[in-house]
Amino acid sequence: MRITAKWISVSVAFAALYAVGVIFLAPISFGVVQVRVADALLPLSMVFGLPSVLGLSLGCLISNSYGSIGHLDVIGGPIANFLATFIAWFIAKRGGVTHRFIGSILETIIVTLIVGGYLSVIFDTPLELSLFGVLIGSIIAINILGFPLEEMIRRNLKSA
Amino acid sequence: MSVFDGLRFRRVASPVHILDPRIKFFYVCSIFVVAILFPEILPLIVLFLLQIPFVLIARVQKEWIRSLRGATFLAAIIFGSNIVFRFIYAGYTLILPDLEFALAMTLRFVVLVEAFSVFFLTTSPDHLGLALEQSRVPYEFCFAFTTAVRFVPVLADEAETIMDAQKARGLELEKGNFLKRIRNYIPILIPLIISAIRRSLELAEAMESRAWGAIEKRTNLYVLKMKAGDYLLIAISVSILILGIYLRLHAFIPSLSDLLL
Repeated sequence: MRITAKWISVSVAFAALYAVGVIFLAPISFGVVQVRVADALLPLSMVFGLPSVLGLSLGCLISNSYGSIGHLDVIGGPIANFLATFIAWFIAKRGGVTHRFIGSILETIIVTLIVGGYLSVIFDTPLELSLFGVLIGSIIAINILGFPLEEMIRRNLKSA
Repeated sequence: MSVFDGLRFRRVASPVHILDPRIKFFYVCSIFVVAILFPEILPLIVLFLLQIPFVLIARVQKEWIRSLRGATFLAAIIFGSNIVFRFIYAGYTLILPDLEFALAMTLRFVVLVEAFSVFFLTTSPDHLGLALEQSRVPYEFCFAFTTAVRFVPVLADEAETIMDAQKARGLELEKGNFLKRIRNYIPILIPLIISAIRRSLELAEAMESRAWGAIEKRTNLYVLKMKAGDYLLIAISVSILILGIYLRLHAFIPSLSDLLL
């Protein structure tokens, strides 16, 4: 696949969007549960394809390295984002709304497993606790906020 | 907009800033490894103090202290959770070594954060991109990285404008129940995404008009070269690493509570 200027610039836009989302739209926190609003961008990989997969991973690298809680977060976060968005894109490209919904659920699961896993290593907390915290936050960000956002933008792109 | 001061890299002419980013990364990695090796508090204190001359030479104290202050919240969580679990496992009694262990875990976290923030405070995005490029990372990736870093403050300004505009139209972010508060973010996210995509198309046109990707083999105006300071830093990090491993294997490390009591 040839990497064009447009390809790169879309991924740049997504990287910057994600980083701004993490740093600027500070997480809405309700006690233990932290919702990373920027994660609502993850389902958009099903609209914008591979450039956004690269962009969202890069954005996670940038935001995690500036608000850093160590190497594990800087390496683990982008890997989680990459796998989640790539798999969701792969599933959604050959299907309709149901495929996209399954894709967004898979994103939640992947992010929960990877991020929850390394957070429990960083914070020395029990695995179940951190998995649960990340799971709730991801469901809200990715499925409740992100999925309708994705459908909205998909519809608007079609009509535009 | 104080949050983005970290991203708006401040150019300081200091011996640390001109070091090769790859070597600085190696130094951070060796600090990381040594910090992981020791659960005792004394070596961690030494590691913590070891960073301070580095920060002073680089003259980034203000930013460094700010990043430490940002880490206090997480550090408090780590300290608290450690204390609670030790307390429960030990059968609802708390002894001094437990307290020291929790403190050591917190300090380990602070050391990791601090080493990492020193790296990012003293390395400009351009320099980092150059280092990536010379480590044979594909050019497209490096370009995307450096451009994205530069894009962040621009987009943040835009996000602020959009938020103000929506607030002026009556959007109340901090109001309503749980789901309402979540949904309040949609009127901010959609214009932000659209404007980012629009900007990215403009960027693509600008790149194409300057023949981006037309030449397969690129050359750089600046080439990273190892200087005396780089070799010194390699020596320092290797000796930290060797000393750390040696002490781990052959020395008994007294705990602070034994020394004091």
